[in-house]
Amino acid sequence: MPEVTLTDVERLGAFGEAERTFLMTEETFRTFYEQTARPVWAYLARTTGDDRLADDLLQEAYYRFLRTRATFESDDHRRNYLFRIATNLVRDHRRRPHRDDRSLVETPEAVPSRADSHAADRAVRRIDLARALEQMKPRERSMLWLAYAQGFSHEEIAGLLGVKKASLKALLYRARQRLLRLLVSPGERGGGQ
Amino acid sequence: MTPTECPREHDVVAAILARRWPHQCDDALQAHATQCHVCRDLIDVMSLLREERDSLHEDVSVPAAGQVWWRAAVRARLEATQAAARPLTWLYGSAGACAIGLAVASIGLLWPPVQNASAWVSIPSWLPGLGLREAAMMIAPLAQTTGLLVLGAVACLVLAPLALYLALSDE
Repeated sequence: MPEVTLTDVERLGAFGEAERTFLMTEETFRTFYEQTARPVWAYLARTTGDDRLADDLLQEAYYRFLRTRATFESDDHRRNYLFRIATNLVRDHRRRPHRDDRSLVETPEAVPSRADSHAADRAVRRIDLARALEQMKPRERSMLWLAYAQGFSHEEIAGLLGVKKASLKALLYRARQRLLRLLVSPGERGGGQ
Repeated sequence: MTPTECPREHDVVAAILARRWPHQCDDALQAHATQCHVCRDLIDVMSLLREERDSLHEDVSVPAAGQVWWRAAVRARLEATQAAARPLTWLYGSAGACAIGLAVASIGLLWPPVQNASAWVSIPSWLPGLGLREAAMMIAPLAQTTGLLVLGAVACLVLAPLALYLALSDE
């Protein structure tokens, strides 16, 4: 298709037109974004294992969210909808062939150069966790993160990931056990993506 | 059999999420957690993941809300412009394909070397039997014209999707 580009005037026009295109006002969006951007980014980063990809997916998630025509009963409902978009983006990304697969292990960049022993221990724990998560199934990673890092209820997780609420407890138990095994013996493979 | 669930699991999760664990929660829960392997594992996993979450929240610098809003607005505008231009692209593609098809058919009809070549192909000398060869010669002019028109139509049918594909593909 011939490339369609916008002039600077059209770009400025887009800014004014956005509030007619999106259901949300810019002010409401700002508040919502401030509350959710970091948790969503953290979720994307830990489920994809790639910080730079998380940056891209974050922008895409909010774009899709802004384009939706859905109405929300509550703030939680709105937040869950955003996480659902994020989950779908990660899933779609996984299905696409990749030329540049970056490893999860690179992600903890907070390794201090002149670390005290506490910070160093923490950095090591983060690297171990990243390595262990990398070896888990994508769904297990999402489940564990949503349940224990984000504190989502079982009902919310079941809705987000499309699993039965009744089986979630057992799935979470198995995922926990697997994570602990991987943390103890990092070489364990199988069952990963 | 090792139990996979604990009735106090929910209390432990709630205490950790509320940052009450371990010092601000009741002694009974703490005592239970030291005995129960389900809760112990749960605490280990949750502590790690919560620590990771807190670290990520501290470290990450997400783009400003205004920037995300601005990019989304520009993209929405761009997509609207593209959507508006799409019917015209289809029209140009179809018109181009039809023009190519007509050109191929016209060349075939008007250019004698092509007609001669098609005549040579359509009445092979090795056709067995006199009657069959004469019948072929009788229908040959009609077959040539029709054949060229069919050729034009086929070219049109083949080229139209190709032209549309090339017109609509992003890369």
